[in-house]
Amino acid sequence: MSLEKLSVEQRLNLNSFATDKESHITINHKLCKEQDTQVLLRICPAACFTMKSGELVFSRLGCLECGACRAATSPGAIEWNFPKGGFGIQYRYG
Amino acid sequence: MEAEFEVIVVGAGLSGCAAAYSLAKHGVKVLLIERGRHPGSKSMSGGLMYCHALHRLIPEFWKEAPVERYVKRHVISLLSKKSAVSLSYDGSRFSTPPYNSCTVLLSKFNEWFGSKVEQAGGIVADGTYVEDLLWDGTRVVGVMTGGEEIRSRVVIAADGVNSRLVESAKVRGKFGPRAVALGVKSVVGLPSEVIQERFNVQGDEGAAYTFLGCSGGMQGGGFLYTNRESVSVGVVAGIHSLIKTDAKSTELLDDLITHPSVSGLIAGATPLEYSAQLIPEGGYGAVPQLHRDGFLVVGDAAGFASNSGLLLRGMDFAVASGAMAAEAVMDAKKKEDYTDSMLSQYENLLQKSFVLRDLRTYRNAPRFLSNQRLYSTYPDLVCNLMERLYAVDGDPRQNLFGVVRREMKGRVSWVRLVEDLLGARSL
Repeated sequence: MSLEKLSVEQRLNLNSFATDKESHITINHKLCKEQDTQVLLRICPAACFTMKSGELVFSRLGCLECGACRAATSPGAIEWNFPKGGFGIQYRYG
Repeated sequence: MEAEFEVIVVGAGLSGCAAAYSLAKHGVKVLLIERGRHPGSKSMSGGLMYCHALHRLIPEFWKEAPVERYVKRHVISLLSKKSAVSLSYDGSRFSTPPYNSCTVLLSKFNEWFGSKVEQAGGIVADGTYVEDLLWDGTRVVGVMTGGEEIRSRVVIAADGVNSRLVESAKVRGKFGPRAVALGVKSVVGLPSEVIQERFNVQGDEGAAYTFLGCSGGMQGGGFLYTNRESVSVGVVAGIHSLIKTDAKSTELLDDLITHPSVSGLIAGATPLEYSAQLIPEGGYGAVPQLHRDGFLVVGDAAGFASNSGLLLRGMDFAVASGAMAAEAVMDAKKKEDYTDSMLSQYENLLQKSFVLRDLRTYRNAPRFLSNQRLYSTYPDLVCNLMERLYAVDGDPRQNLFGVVRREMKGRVSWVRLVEDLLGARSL
């Protein structure tokens, strides 16, 4: 199937991941303002931030470790880390 | 306690591999630590590398490295919704060695570069995440990984645009929305013969396209580079622009790949990978403190990338800065002095080289490039002008000046246009 017809999930499915049991990014709900929430829902190129029963959640599945969420939000809104050594996205082309 | 290594380099990207290779080649005991499963597994770039810096470090590297194609044709395309105006430069000089630029798939490329480090005698520890720096007072004396200490005389932070080590060393905070852009890219497969025919290139020649007007009015642009048997296609947009609009990053690529003058270039191609990466765009003003006692910062971690609007460069900056950090460390080694003042030699080398000179030359470019008119008004204007120039329908013609005036009306004033043209001096 051609690229333009693929959804973001299908695009991410092209990639190779070694997903860890633990999440490397956590949302700090106390400091994550409404504006940060709105930005996080849009800014992640892998759509890792979604609303679940009225609350913002992060799913580590598909995270490309780009750091857009970290650069775009106010300090402390999220706690951002890389996945542990050997885990996360494994680019084959890059 | 004795240092186990003379130098620890954190991050096996281009800058880290360049630093570690250079050191190992000169007999320095160096450890290159990579959090991915192998060097390259966390590497991603647009894919266009200007060869000079690596050619200086490894002469004629293209003979052994996994280079994709030598870029012979550079095309600049201004896009409006349905049309495009392009300017193409064919440089036959560019397809003979020493090559000006080549396309690479950075993950494969850095896997090769990592193996060069090992061949030169460096030790590569992959799958290893450095949690923090190790301190002795104000001096960096190693790293912490998996709760263990590894000691060295110098640590080189080559851990990329999202560097955690520069924060531990307090040389800079995280990059803010104005200092970085988001690049989203896909690699799509096409047979080599199709690429040659479609892009009118021969053998291992290739083409590189830069697009303006495909970023939904946001500060940014697009690119398309031909690889051996694939094409890299991507869009870059400033994080601050993405915040301001209601654009979704997951849809960033779509305007470009469905554009009538671009979709044909990747028609029938098989999607192979989808990637994303932040690109430092703060320029000279965003460069942090580059050295402290026992500590140096290289590559994207230092914000070494330059955007002159049409030319986006980072990989040659990464290689050169890594090599210069190695040079400074070797000088320090001769004197057994790894203090901040000794290591500041690194900054002197950068100041004398293209790395900081080019960043200084383009220091006002970030301000000029934040002008929204560059990303929709002007591409639209130029496309409409060309359409009026060529559309002949039997209605009485207007002279060129009249057409320009009519197209500009309501979009941009003459004063603004002249202002913007003068502003382009910063490029």
